[in-house]
Amino acid sequence: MKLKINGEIREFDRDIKNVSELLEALKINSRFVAVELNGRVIYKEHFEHTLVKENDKVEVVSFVGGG
Amino acid sequence: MKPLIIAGREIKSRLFLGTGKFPSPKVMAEALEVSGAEIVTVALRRVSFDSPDPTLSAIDFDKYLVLPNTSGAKDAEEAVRLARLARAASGINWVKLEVTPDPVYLLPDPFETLKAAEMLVKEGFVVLPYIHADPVLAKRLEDVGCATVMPLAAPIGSARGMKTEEFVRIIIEQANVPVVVDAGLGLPSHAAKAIELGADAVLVNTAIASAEDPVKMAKAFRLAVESAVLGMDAGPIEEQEKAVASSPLTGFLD
Repeated sequence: MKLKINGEIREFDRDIKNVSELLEALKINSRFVAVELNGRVIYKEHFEHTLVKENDKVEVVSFVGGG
Repeated sequence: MKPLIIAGREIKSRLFLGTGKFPSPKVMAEALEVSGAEIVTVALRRVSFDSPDPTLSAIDFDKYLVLPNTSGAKDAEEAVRLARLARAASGINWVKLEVTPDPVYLLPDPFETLKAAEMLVKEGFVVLPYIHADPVLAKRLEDVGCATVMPLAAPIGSARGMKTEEFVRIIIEQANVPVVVDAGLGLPSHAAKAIELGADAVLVNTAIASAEDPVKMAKAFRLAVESAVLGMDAGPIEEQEKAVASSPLTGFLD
């Protein structure tokens, strides 16, 4: 399955069903992470039932040091 | 000085810290601790899957009021997008609004900042906008419901001190919301100067994070800010044109 994540195409050897599974596959702890799916912010409580499909554009962001 | 209350919350420390550019997460955590800061800023970026930023794990979200910024936003739309993502990531609805399309001086765009502020306030955010020291803009931002205004002392990271003094003075005189001097402070004395002008707080990042000894510098800024607050509370004397003798003018020898 192919997804565009943070500007790069990524191939997964299995199907990713939803946002929760995607973060798991990326080994990302969902605390302090936000996800935008095709330009729409997905809130944490919707991670599990927000479906991901082939060629979706995903942004995964979190906090870094800043002023 | 009157208590510093932002969006109904009393903030005891008048030194806010940025968390960028520290040599290590450990040094950052120590500097935050020593600074006594309650409010610390962070930025939002794409997660790097190969080398995640270690800063995040060194910030205690229970201890500090973490203030996400919208750095990197070049217009109102980008700033609003970043603020929404920051809220989704953390549940925090406070945002340091910065819209800086100019890559050389990182000066904030007043039109886009005002536009974004209006939208974010409507969406329930507590908005702390980073602005040029423009008293008219500060009033406009206050009118649309911003929780503070944060005028710059000098360009971000420039360490040049209170270059905007005369205009920050007017902002302070006219503001009904707290005024936080943000950006351009390089020395502890610059921070003290801002407080002595009547600013409610200062926000410092580069001057501490990029100092040779950030922990020591954090302490220096803390002491400077506390000293200035104490001095203001003590009731400073007024400036005079001419000398006013401090020794008696009688009892001289012939």
